[in-house]
Amino acid sequence: MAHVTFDSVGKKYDNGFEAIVDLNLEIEQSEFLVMVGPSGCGKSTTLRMIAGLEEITSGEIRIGDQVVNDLPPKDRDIAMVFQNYALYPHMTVFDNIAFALKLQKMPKSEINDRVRNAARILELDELLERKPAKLSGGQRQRVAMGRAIVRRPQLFLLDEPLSNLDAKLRVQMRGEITQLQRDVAVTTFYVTHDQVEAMTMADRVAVINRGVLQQVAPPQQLFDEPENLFVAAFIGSPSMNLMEATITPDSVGEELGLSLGGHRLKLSAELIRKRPALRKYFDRTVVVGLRPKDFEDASLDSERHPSIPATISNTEALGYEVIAYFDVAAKPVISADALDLHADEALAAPVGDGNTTLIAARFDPRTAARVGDRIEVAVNIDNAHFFDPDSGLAIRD
Amino acid sequence: MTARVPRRSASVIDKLYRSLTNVPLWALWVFVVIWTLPTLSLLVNSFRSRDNQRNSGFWRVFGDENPEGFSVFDNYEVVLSTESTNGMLQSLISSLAIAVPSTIIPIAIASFAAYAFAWIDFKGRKPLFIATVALMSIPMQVALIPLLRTYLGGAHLTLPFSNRTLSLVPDLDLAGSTWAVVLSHTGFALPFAIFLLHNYISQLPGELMESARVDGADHFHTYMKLVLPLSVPALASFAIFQFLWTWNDYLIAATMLSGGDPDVIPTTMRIVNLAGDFGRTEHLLTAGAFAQAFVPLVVFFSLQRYFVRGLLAGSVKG
Amino acid sequence: MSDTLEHQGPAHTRFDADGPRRAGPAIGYLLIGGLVALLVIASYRTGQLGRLGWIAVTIIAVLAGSAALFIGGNKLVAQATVSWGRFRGLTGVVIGAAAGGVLRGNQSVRAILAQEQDFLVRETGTTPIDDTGLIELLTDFADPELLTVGTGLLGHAEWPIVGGVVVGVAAWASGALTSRLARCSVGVVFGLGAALLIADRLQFRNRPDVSLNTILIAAIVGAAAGGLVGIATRRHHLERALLGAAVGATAGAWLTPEMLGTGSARAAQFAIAIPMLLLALRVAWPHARSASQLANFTRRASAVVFLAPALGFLAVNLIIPAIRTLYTSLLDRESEQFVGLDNFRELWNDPASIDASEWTNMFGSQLFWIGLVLVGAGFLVGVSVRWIRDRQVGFERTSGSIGSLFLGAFIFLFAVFTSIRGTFINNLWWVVTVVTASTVLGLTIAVLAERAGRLESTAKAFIFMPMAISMVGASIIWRFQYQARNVTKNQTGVLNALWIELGELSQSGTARVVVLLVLSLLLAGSLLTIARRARSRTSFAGFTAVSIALLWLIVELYQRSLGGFTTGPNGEIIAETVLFREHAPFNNVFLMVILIWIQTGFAMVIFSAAIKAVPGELLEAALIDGADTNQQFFQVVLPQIMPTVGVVVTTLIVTVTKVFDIVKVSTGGNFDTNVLANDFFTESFSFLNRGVGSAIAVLILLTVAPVMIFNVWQMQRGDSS
Repeated sequence: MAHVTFDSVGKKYDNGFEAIVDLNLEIEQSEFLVMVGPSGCGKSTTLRMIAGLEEITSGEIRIGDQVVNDLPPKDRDIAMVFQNYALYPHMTVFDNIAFALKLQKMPKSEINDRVRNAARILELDELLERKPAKLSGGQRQRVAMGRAIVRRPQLFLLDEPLSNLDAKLRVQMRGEITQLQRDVAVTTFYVTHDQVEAMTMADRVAVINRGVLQQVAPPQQLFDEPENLFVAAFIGSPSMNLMEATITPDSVGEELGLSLGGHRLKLSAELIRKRPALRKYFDRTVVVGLRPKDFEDASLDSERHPSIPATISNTEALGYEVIAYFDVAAKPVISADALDLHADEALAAPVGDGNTTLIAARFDPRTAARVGDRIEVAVNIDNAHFFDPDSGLAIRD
Repeated sequence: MTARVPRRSASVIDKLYRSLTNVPLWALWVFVVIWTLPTLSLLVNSFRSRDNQRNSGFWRVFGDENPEGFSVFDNYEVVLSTESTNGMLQSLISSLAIAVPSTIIPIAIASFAAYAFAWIDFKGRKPLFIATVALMSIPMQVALIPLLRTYLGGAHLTLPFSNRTLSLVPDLDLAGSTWAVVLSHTGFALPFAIFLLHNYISQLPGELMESARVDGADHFHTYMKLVLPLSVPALASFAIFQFLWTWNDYLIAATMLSGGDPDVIPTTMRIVNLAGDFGRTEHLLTAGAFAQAFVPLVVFFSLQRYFVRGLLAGSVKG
Repeated sequence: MSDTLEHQGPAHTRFDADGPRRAGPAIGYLLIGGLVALLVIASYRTGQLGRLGWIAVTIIAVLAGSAALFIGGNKLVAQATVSWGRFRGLTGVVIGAAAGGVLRGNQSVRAILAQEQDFLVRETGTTPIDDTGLIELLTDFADPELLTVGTGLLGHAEWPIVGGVVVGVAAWASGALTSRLARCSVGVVFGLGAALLIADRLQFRNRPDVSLNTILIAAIVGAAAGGLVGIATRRHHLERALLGAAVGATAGAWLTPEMLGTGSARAAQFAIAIPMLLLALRVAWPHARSASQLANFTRRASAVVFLAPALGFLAVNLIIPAIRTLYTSLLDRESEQFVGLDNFRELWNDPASIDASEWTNMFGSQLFWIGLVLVGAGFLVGVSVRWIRDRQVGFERTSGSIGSLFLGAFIFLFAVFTSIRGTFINNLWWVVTVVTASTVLGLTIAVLAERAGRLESTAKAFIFMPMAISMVGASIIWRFQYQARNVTKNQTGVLNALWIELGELSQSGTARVVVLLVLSLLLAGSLLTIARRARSRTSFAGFTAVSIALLWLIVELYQRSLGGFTTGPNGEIIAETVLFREHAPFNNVFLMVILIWIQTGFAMVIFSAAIKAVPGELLEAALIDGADTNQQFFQVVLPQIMPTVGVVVTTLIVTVTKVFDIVKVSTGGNFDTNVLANDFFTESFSFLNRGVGSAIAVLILLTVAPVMIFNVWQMQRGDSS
């Protein structure tokens, strides 16, 4: 099992386009690392560089302690699952899985054992004599996985393997892949554009955008402590509400408060202690991020958070929660990165016009709020995230 | 096709070494040279005088000694003249007179049939289509002689067991005329034309036809307004193919036009006549053969894209 | 999608690369335009401009005519939904006019109103002679038939007009009226009227000598048959019976009499009226169609209009002549007497067709034994590899075993074909050699071109170019390559020149030694590579073949020296050329080279597209699985393009079986190079033996038939999946 190191790795094409910029990343042994980002961010390129299908223009990639920059794919002891499975259509499932082993001139009996073992794990036993054309999407995906695990490589590479499956199957396969990886304990590098997959499957998640690594952290940490605007907006669905606000002292000059769209929310001492750098932003504009879960119908709020009045403009009832939309007179923040997300996913925070932000809030399903109602909305301001408006970085210390 | 392991950009020396030891690349260019040499030799020889052609190979062209007044185009002047024994100009026109109608008429007829097979659902469509397309493989020899007889004197069928004779085709006195050749070419080309055009037309999006149907168009209007304009690439492919084929044909022309009016024979027959004439006029054969090949070569080089597409239709199964 | 022709093929044929070719289409049109201008000028110079003009006019006329027919046909069909009566009326007009035209054209009827012109017809013939002087003369002596037909425009138009009007009105009426009784009455009236008119104007010589009873009995028999068909198909019993009756009556009236011309006027009336009546009843009987029936009908009618010209052309141009050829092959040389399979027997027994008399020569030929050895070696390798790998008996398909088998079989067949000679065998030989060579070469060049990067399309264009040249032209080109001159003079053909040079070279001491040295070095290198590869357990089959070839070359060179020379009686060296065209039996191979030269481009283009259609991901997966370039090709790409290989092979088989131009122009079929298509030409046009000629054509068809059946089978399978 291998440990993979990216050492200042860069990928630049002949026309000058930089797909990957100075990537430094470590994948621990037996770790399940997911690289996630919008389309064209460079995640597939990264994966293909590890595989040896793309040239590395600068830096080094090491698998174990070996520099693999110039090593051909077959000498890197890796196995890959492609997005479209890349099964050999003229071979049976058995032959597909056994192909690599045959190339290694393994004895027939051993090939047989390994293939049947893999088939058993993946529940492909009855399908061994079929050809790929006669398999369903999920079955093909499992054959692709079988092809990978049978080689017992030191590194698994998976390139968006679930994107061609329907939603229900995707959920099922997520669990199966994670379980498989735990059983086999092979270092795994997984690439996807779906942040839900990243969050549910990974030991650590690497968020990447436009070839630049944004943050690498375990999923919960990514959620709780995003390091910049991009990560903040990318992780979580519905996304974090981002808007401009000002840090203002109260009339006495002691406590800090957040001036948000005409309302003032007091910042607790604990919050300031957690993020001491906030002090530097006296009377200055900051970007504040509030996740939908940090809002609640004030009448149902048991914890007595400060509240602001709001008129509900839209609701979406999901059964286990209600997503309520209302306007706040604060300027919305749309960073260039966030614009990328809009274009790509249409998942990012719904954007209002110039000076109002449309906020998405998660309410308890028992809420009586309806469209048009003017209610008090509780804000868990202590969970707010703050970002520098110029650099986009989180304000901490 | 290979997936190659990417290599770093290498130094000049590396590149040189790699190109020297790259056997596959060498082999390719060896093939190219071998393939081009024959045509090249014909071209070179066609510019040489008779004596030079008889006494040395084309590779000695630069050592040629020529008498005064000799021009490299001498052979072509003779060949492209209207001189009756050796001039080919007449036959070039004849070739055109055969090739152009033989290309246009099948298109008109086959495109309708191709559309019908593709988008009109009627009973027995598939077996009829398969039968039509299977005719592609029929060798022309099987139909040639009866065709000739029909053109000579009409087709008459004697009913069995009675003395009655039906005239199926009256005597149109077509024998020895260009039309006999053109009609024959049309008939033989139809199965392939239908196959090629059907292949293309059947892959036009069905929604197009359906929305036209909803808008009230019947088959005829759908064909004229939608299908025909969209099929232009396929029509072009077939046209190039058929033009080349009919320009280069010898068998049908020889069958229908032998022993007839010498002004009507196409270039292929002319060349064969020239070729049988050893000795005195062999030097003209090079220029003549090249003149014959010139038109198709020009058409080929300028429109190869379409020609290739015509070939590929239905041949490549994904 | 706009440019693709194939379903799952490449999104674009990368036959022309971008960049320098981007100006392609524009230059193409310019060139064509230039060419057209040249030809116009040329025709002006030769005074042929008029001819060109006529061609243009006729093409436009034909196109306009067919357009008119199509548009007319479609408009007619469209009428069916608008007004059934009008539709039937118009169709009736067309049919009636056509019928009238046929009657008039066959000169079966006399004129109605037009001035009549007398023609003289001899008893046996049907060709009319038009000579009044002769008429008077002959009338005195022989027993001629005077037949009259209308003259002038009216003479030609009157019957079509009458037919069109009568049938049209009747059809319209019977379509527009709702009551069956009314419809049938109209039909009867018009039918009877038309019948009596025809009967009255029928040429005397066409009158059948038949009795009313015969006609009626025949009608009843026909009705019964029609009715049975109706019962069997469970539909339209009465209509089918009526139709059957009409057909039966016609047959009874017109086919039963021994000869025409001896009947009475009354008999003629019955003979025409009864079938006419029955037909009229049949047409008038059915109800007007319901909406859904109409829709069905319009659809089928459209299909008929669209398909009729093409299918009609095919029938007349292809199918009927083919059937006639089949029939003529069973007749004698003048196509008068039935001789059964004699023609075929004659062909079979002719030593020119198959000559197996010297088949024992096989055993003396090098090729035979080399081929056998290779086949045996292939088997051995295959079996032993299996044994070594798995301790199982069986055949393992490795590159060594398969390659050796194929090569051995190919060489072995060559040995067979050079010992058993004849036209048939030549055809077989052509097919085996050209198809194999073109396929293999085409595939090889396609694969090589893939690796050529930007110059790929240029290289491929040159390989493909011979396809644009006629086979006649190609034969001429290669005739010059194959030329052999007297050895005292310079060689003008490239091949003989090289051959003689090679001969001279191998006489000289230094050159020979140098070449031997180089070859030995190559052999050593090859053997070393084999050893290295054997150790690393990679395939060394290719290098084994190379080593064997090198070894053979060295031995030959050492023993004899290569090249074009012989030793004279006094031991002196005399140069010697190769008579490529005349030296049997290998002259056949040199002719085959010409077709290979042409067809390889075809195979290459198709394979190139097929190879590019293999998804790149598959090759990446193979690369990661550990496959090197060769393995990628043979284990991933090749299996995927197998269907294409099948298509190429079948197409080539058909093309090669029909080879004619090359043989005719190069050798005329002499020097033991005759092929079936050439034989066909000679028998039909030189020997004027229609029976044997047709038989050969049938044989060519039979040779191609398996491929036809295979294609049909593939198409059926493809469509149903």
